[in-house]
Amino acid sequence: MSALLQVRDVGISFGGVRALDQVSFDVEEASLFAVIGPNGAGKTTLFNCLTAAYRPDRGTIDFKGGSLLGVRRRDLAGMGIARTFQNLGLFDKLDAAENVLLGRHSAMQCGFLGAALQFPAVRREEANNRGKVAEIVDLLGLDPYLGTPSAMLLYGIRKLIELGRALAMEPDLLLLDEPVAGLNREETARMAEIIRIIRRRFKTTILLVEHDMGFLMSLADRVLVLEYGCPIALGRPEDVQKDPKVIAAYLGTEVPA
Amino acid sequence: MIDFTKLIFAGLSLGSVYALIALGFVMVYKATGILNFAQGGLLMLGAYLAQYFINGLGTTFWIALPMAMLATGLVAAGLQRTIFDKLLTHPAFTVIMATWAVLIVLEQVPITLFGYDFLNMNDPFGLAMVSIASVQVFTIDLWTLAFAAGSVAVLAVFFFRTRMGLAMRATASDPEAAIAQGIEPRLVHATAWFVAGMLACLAGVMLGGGSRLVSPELSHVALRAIPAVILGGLSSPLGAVVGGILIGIAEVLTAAWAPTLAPWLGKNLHLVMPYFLLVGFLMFRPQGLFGQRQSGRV
Repeated sequence: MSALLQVRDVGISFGGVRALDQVSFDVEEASLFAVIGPNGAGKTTLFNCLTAAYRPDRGTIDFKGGSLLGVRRRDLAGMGIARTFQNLGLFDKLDAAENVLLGRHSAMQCGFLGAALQFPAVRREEANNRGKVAEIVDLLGLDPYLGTPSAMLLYGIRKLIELGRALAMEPDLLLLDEPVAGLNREETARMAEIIRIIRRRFKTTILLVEHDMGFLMSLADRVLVLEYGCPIALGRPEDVQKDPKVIAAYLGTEVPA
Repeated sequence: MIDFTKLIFAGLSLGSVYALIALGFVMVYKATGILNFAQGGLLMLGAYLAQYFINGLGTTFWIALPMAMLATGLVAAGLQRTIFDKLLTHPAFTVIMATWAVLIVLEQVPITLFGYDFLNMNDPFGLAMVSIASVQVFTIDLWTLAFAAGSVAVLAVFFFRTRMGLAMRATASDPEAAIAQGIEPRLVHATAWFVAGMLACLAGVMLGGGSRLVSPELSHVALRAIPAVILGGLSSPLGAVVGGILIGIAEVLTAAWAPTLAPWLGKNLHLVMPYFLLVGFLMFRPQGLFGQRQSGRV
């Protein structure tokens, strides 16, 4: 069986600068794949290629056997790809439950007349959505924050709400852009624990981009390390960690040519 | 005392029309970031359409009103799809100038079709009056209040109970994140314009009915709702309603009292009163009563 996500020889340049070059990897179903690298390594560029914000100059990206190139960003949700944002993309005035409910936008049908007249099918759908939202709110421990506009909540809580919104989509592939950036040690540990619970419970395939090595090592099945847009290592975290090229990239013992 | 109650009532009625117009401004502003000056043209178009359905086609008012609202809403959504969708990435100033140009064009359409004459709406309200607690009020003022309250209720259901309403609130808050949820921004924008068009039409019909007439002047009334929008805060639907009602009451009270209290200020002080309030608010509380202080993202 082929992998859920297949990236082959992807490359992209911005005005002569090669932001990504010859990047290839597979993400197997139900696995957690991590992309790491120092600042400027091309992690965000790769993430943007996967979320259809950029279109690579070279190479292919296949998801569930079909190409992701040329897909419109708003169609990703319907295809089963959920994402979070590096700097948080929450709806500030909405509370946790409404934010999570929006993750179900693609799955909802209820129109204006339906909502006003409360047709049985609408009620069933609403009950189903509410059930899903309640399940996620409960799983992430968001109950105490219901009814509060998300802008008023702590950053760590808002990160969880955003993760909950992505989960509500019941995605086949969950893309997390630096899920622990800006979180303190305690919140980072909590995020790691929640990602473990999500994997156990929903068997969700996850691709995450991060530069916090410690956070990833216990979580990821496979790790891709980027430096200056090029892959320098790909494999199990414990092997990658020992790779001299990776150590050099992170500790900066080598002066790049 | 009866006079004062009467004035307040007239102010509420006028204010609720301003509230409807202001809600249209807020809808489009929240969804697309545009201050839509074409709103006045839509209002005028809506009133002329309703008048035509009644006088030209012979339908009753209660069929003409929803037909005109639907037609005006479709025209508004069509403007969004054909013109403003293409201007989405342009600077706000460019887009605002474009809405102004569309206003000028829209204002000419009913004049071309129906001429400059003031027309009678032939609505069922006419000059009829009812007495409430021994105060005589125009029937149309009561209906205006009822329609405005009904519109606010329907909009509340729309925003808080429907998928599209939630999607609109999400898009207003973070368009990029909304797209990631599979929300189609163009549909959100077109819906906002559609609703704004329907509200403008309703306001136009109520302004052109009863003791008043349908005339090219109607377009200017929408401009007087702009102070209401600034007063309430450009991005606050609640503010639009409160601002609209305050402006309406201020205008009516000024019209009643200024000629005796300050005759040297002339007879039409009430027509500029909303703009005095507009300048005052822009100077001392630019974010309005309910709006949030601007904090730009660089």
